[in-house]
Amino acid sequence: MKNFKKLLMLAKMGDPKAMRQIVDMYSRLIMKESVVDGVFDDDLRQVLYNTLLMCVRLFEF
Amino acid sequence: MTEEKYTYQTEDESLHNLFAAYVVTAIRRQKARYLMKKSREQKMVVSLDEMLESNMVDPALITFFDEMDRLFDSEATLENIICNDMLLIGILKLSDRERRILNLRLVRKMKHEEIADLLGLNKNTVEKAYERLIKKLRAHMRGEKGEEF
Repeated sequence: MKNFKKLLMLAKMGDPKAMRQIVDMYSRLIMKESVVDGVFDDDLRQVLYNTLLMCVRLFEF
Repeated sequence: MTEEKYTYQTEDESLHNLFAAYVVTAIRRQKARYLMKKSREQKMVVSLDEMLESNMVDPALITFFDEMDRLFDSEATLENIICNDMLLIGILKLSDRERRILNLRLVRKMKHEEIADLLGLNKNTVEKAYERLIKKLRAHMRGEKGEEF
């Protein structure tokens, strides 16, 4: 990833590859946050992925 | 030239860091909100179970359950009909009259006019009451506060 600004702009415009790259960047964080009291919560994982997509849409720079 | 490139990279890095902080904050807040909602729902289910176990249920409610059960075949019970605990809690919070209207409308498939005749009410009153109880149940299912039952 050479230029994050460009990547983010492409993701904002709906480019699936750019979006995928951003999702991959944060998937470890999402997987980590989806564990509650040592138990993996799949519903929470879905909610957090949606949050990430919203972040891409709403982040202003 | 080299200096320009260096500045460009730093700006990009700072944007990346800003976005990362934004995502981390949003994800942690969303997680907290999710856990709070989940714990609230669990508490409501537990309180319903406790209520049923400790026989604190209003006799009018038991009559309502029996009435619903009788309308279906012997294998069906209210628990089978209403699988959603949240919905069941919502129905429990309705008034006797509202539960009766709901029952007549949805289970017996009666028209508003017929319900009005049976309960000795005005047709408009039944329509308004039905509309209001559906709104209450929807608000309850959405987990909204402030909807007085």
